[in-house]
Amino acid sequence: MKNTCKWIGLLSIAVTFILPLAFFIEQISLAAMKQGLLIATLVWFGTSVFWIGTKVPEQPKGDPIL
Amino acid sequence: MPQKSKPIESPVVEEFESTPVPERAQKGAKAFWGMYAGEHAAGTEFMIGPLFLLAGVSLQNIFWGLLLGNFLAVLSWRFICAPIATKARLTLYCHLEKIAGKDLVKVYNFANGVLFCFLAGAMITVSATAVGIPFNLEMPAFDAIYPNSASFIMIVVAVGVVISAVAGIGYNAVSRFANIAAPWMVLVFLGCGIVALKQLGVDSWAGLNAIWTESISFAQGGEVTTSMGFLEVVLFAWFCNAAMHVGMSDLSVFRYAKKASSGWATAGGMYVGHYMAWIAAALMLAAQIKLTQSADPVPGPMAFNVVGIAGIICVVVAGWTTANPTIYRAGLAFQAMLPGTSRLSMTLLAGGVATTAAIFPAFAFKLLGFVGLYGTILAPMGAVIFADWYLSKRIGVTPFHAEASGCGVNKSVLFAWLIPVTVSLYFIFAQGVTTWYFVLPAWLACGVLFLVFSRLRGTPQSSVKKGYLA
Repeated sequence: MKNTCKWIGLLSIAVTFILPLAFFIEQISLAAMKQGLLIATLVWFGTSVFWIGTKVPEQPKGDPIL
Repeated sequence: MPQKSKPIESPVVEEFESTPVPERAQKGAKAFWGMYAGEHAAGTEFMIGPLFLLAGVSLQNIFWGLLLGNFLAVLSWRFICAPIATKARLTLYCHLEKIAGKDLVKVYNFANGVLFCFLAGAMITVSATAVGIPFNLEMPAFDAIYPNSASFIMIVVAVGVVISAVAGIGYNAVSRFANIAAPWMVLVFLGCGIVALKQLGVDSWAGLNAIWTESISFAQGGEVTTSMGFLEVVLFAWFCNAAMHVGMSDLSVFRYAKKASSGWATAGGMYVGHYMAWIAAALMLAAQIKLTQSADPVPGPMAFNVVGIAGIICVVVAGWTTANPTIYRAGLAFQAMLPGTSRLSMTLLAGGVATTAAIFPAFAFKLLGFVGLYGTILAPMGAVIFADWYLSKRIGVTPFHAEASGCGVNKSVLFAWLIPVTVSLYFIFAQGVTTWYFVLPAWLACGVLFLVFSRLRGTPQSSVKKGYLA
């Protein structure tokens, strides 16, 4: 399950990278790119939660990030 | 992209608050590359990039100025902050307490907390501009100081309440969510830039330059004037995070690094977040000007125009994941200043101040100036740490004076900090001089004054007995 989610997640992140490039070289329309990005976004958040690290700091250190 | 089987996580864990980090807890450079690259793609990048265009910065100055300024920032982390962090292995506050004294650190911490609130406010404003899109919210204009509608106030308050409540309840969930969102956010930033470039319809550098100049002209009502040249862009990029590198706030991060060379990892944050993301955001505004004839640098609509709903999600997430820990930190700072209060109440107080600031869009739209002010006030304390670490013994000054003498306020530090900061604030507010000119002079002056005042004060007998000058 974890492995499957990981590969699907990685695929979605690759799609997030590829879609704007595909629009840039005029392979897909703006609307299709936007729709594809939304789907890739949902897939990424839906799958990454199962495999991206659960160890987090109790509280932040340092200054705000700009 | 995340590493093959390594979770993306901060190399910083909540341990060793007042003791040096032991060898078993130290981490290699790899952990820091991912952390910096992810954390510096924040909500404020959506705001800063477009502000360059509105300030009339030429395209060449953006590309070359940011390249150099970010490099100087990386060098500052690598050669000023990381070497001390990997030798002392203490947090900023613990290190500063040994030099400046417990009570003075509380004052510094409080100043930090207040400034954090305004930064968090700008991030809440950024998120609110995206949340408002489905409600057809009329966005405030660039020159707006006050909110433009009751709806805007309501959405800002709603976003602020949610962020503050989450910060008050706990930090873990948001931190994990931020880790998950980081690689995706970086790619959405990149995608925004690519799509905006296509929407601009240019196929050469000359074409891009021409349309960039046209965009500046449109935004400035037919004129092309600039308030930022090459030097200003370099200084801004260098000192945007001055509090963290020359200001030594990232001692808290790099105390976990095995070697000072981990300081190079900050290049991941600078060139992803403060180069690619700023340029991408600036191109988004240029594309918006071309397509809709609107020069308002409102992040939500800009991102929606180029990448649709994913852009709205990105703006909300980028603002939320950075505003949340900022409010949390401000709450901790207030709590340290007011002993006996609960962390929850102080976090909610910080959230309230941040939300109030967020209602006024001017705080977000004047972010370039505010960032310089933030560095001018906080970074000089880093010079005290630097001078104390490298120079104090050489000129016969007791290092870690407060610890050696047991004083609550080291007056040498207090006046070395207050004098350059007060002079800088006079020029900034009374004379209207740009803020980012003052970070370096204030830092240098603070370090020199600290050594001079410490030398004049003399050496306490207790420090000789304890061997601080050995």
